[in-house]
Amino acid sequence: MDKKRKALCLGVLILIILIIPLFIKDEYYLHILVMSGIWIISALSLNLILGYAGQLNLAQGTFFGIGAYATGLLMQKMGLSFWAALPLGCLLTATIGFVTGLPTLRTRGHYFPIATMCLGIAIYYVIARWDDVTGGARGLFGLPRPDPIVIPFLGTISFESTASCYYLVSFLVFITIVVIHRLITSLSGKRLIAIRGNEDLAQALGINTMRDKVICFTISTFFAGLAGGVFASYMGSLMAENAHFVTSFEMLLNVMIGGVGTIIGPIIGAIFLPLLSEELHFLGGWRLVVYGLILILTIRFLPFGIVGGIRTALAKRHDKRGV
Amino acid sequence: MDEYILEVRNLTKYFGGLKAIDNVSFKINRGEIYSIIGPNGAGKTTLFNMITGFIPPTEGEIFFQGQKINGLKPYQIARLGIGRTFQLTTLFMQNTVLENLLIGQKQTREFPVFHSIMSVKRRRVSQSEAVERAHAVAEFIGLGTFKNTMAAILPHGAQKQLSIGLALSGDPDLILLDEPLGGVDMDEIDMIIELIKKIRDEGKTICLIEHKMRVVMNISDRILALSYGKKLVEDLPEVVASNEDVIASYLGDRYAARG
Ligand SMILES: Nc1ncnc2c1ncn2[C@@H]1O[C@H](COP(=O)(O)OP(=O)(O)OP(=O)(O)O)[C@@H](O)[C@H]1O
Ligand SMILES: [Mg+2]
Repeated sequence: MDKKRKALCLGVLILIILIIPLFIKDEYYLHILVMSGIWIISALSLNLILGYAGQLNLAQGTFFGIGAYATGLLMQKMGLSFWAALPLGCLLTATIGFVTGLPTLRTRGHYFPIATMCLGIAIYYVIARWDDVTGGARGLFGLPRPDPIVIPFLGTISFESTASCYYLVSFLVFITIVVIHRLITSLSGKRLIAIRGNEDLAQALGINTMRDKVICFTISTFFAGLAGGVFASYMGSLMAENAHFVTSFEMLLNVMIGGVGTIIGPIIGAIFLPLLSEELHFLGGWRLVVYGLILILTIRFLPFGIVGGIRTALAKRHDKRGV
Repeated sequence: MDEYILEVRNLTKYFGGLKAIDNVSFKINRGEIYSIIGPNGAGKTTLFNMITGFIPPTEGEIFFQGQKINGLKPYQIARLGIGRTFQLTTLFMQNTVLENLLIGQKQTREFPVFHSIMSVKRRRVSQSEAVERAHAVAEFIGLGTFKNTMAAILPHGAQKQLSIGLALSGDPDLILLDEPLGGVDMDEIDMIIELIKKIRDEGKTICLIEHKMRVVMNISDRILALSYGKKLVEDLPEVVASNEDVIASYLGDRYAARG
């Protein structure tokens, strides 16, 4: 019964997502939705390593940037189609994740966040200064949208319209959710939860914690690269700022405020916080101060974010009724 | 098959200038309850940490089922068949009893990430096997009614039981228990003693660190007494209890004085 109801809810949700573009005629709102999808993939990728394996990775924005630049450059400099550049970009990002994860994940406690923060800053400067390849501070322009897909007898799908990009991003969000959901609900996911809970105990129980952390980090950076690659092609231009620490920080904010260690939390955070950020644009650099305040208040009053808060409230109501 | 399951040969451990373990050798027989006693700081926990690979010995060798294990990583040693508890009760506090025991299963520690994401059947089969085993362990350790309780809110005695259950969950041949009665109420002590005996009766070997002398003398097949990292004596309980060095260094204030 419960399973049936869940399936029904999911079906309705998918239907709503599919028909949204038929009702939203204003391109701007559709654009916001595409961006939400990209931030959802990013937030879910960060949540995998942070919320499940318990490793505070402060370079996720940088991996987003690596995926974006790799996909963009493969299209522009190598003339590859988006459909080849995107998977290659993701693989490259994941490879860099794997290689950098090997030394950094060996550390315990506060060293991993510090190590990843330094890594993020170092890679940002490489992107910002490597003029010949990345265009340096000027950025990268004129990146193509995904090539049209030809379906025999049915016609072609072009990605020039915002609506078509909306469907593409929705599809990738769907894939991301399925893969991450399967991973965390499996026995392998239990190992990640064990690592988050107590690494010594996990090892005493025969879990190869280093191996699992590295695999988790590699998958996590793969999806950050995916979000970045789609971003590059959709926006058509990239700035070094896209790989900046601030991007990592915004992702962290989405995850923490939505609800770390859940799937729905980062999705909620990734939908609503960018909207807020849009409203706060007039603040310029001061925006970061507001973000910092929001983060501190969340950690203080809603340690498990909006989702955690709702759960606690529901549990309380349930208890009251029970008495 | 060897008669003994674990052999420690000339083990020495320095922490800087401190000699925590000083040239200690002993063998544990298959199927016995072997206890290690000694005053605070004698090096008992350090011995466990070396056997399970958490800290490297300065000198000496450790053999498990005839295989040299010093130099292996903790997870490798666990997979060979040594389970352990920690002196400070260590659990996955934010998870339920059942989730804790599920994490400890063999299927859990080895199931490949690739199959977790891609397969349907293998995933379901391993998962249901592991869950079934976790239920069985929960019943075995006497926490059947607490399966869905979060570890953090269990009473202290039940937490100790769960930590033993975790050490047991991967189905090891040798189980190292570091003060399983530490801080446990009188009425819960008997339950844990019964549990330890029950584990032995399952054919497992137990190495026990414990301060409660009455219990140690009753339950052990043999006892090793340590003091300042040195082996004082290793013998049957009644022999150890009457050893003068042991009485002087340890039992003097804890046991002999009372009796
Ligand atoms: N990681 C470490 N670094 C430095 N010194 C240590 C370390 N672990 C233990 N020691 C020291 O080694 C000695 C033996 O400690 P150990 O914990 O093995 O004693 P123990 O016999 O388990 O004592 P207790 O009965 O209090 O648990 C002590 O003097 C302790 O301070
Ligand atoms: Mg100790």
